[in-house]
Amino acid sequence: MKQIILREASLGYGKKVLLSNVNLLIDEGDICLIKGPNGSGKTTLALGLLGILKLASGFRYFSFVRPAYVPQASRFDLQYPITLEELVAMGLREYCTSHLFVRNSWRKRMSEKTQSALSRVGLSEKGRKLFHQVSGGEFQRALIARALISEPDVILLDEPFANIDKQGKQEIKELLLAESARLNCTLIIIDHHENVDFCTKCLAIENGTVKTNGVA
Amino acid sequence: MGLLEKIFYYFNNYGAQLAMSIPYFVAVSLVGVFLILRRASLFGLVLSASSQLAFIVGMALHLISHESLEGLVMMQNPETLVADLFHMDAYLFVLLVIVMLPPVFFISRGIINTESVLAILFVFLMGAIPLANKIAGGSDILLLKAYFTEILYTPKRVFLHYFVHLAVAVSVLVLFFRKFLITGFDPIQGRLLGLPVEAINMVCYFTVGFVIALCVRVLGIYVTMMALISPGLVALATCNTLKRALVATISFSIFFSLIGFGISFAFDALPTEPTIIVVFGIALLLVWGGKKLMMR
Repeated sequence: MKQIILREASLGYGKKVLLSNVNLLIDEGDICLIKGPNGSGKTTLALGLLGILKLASGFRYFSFVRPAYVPQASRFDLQYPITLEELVAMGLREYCTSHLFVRNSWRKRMSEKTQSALSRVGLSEKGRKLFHQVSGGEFQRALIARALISEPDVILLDEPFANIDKQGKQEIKELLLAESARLNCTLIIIDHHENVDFCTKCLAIENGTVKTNGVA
Repeated sequence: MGLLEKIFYYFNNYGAQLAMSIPYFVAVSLVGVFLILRRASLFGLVLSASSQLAFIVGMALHLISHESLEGLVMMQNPETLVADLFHMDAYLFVLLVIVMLPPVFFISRGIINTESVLAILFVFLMGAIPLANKIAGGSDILLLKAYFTEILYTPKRVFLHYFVHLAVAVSVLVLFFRKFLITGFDPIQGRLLGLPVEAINMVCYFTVGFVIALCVRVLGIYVTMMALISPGLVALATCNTLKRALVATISFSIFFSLIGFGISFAFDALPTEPTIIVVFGIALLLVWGGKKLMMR
């Protein structure tokens, strides 16, 4: 069984430790919520789980092979002229490592993959739109499409419901449940509100450590 | 002599220099797009100033070892120029690495990314240029040449000498285009895909620095700074995809520089390089003004 394990882990940036003595276990098939107030270190923990941020100390075990990350939508620089198609294609390593002049057959293959991912999230008509020209909910779905394009076995979503209305939240929730069932993938959702009522495991961060570990 | 006659006269006499300067304008404008997107334009200016400082110190070293500095700078001896440049490049490469690598390293690691630190560094380097020139025994003419090279009087060999370097740098941009894009736009996604983000950032900034250094040598520091920022900004303000923006950057860079050359030819009392700078600046203001009006 695929797992993520942290044992007595400390995480931070440079000499500043944000989280210490973190112990957690996430199993394959879990829908795990990481919750906590602003600035408590939720994103730090997420980056630590994925191995993007190295642990200051402790032990990390990560046996998933195709991880995907959905960052906070507000983190992107709006001046980049990037279409939703290009954004979704960035989920594929072969796209990101390609050079500027590529064969038409390669371009066509990429286009088919991105279109397929966009249609899964209901954005097949908006692939040519710039990412900052679509609504917050549509952009969030495009980010989820980017995660889905690589057929991941675990997806980590950083505040996927932020700045989205009630209907949009419901649509994203249904989409996540449907896709996690289709791909049999584990979901780790970061949120600081009580938006996530469908998780099977809950981790609460308070005062620099993981306080509780159980079913939400 | 009529206006058109003047323009044709200058085009006939300086057409080769003009044509050979265009790839430098294009290259520096292209790397400018990456800097603008990464919000690192000021860093580009710091690189321009640091490469110019390296050039001044390199010239001083050349003077000590060859005693032919004035001849080199005044371009009075084109036969030995390439050989001289070759020797100077040996110093310059080392100096460029010494001067440029620390800011490249620091910015690629996100250690210095504040505007104020870069602004101070830029002013410091710009102040250090005349000081280094004076200490090295350079003249005022030499200093003027350091700021404004005379593109039209630059021997063809100088342009040709750096074409290979320029081609290599542009090839790196083409090969690493999407890697540079993703590490600037979404570095976490880049890391998740297994890309060595810090190393790619280093390659990106060093390639940018290399192109800037070449262009400073050929176009002069102020023309390089303007060509670095202006066409890219105009293109990004008018285009809605990155590929279109890159094509537009190339087009604007060629068009604005040709307009600059044309105006300086038409009014032959006007110095070429400042005219080009003003044309780039006016074009930028017009596009921004036009865009603001359209948004209303």
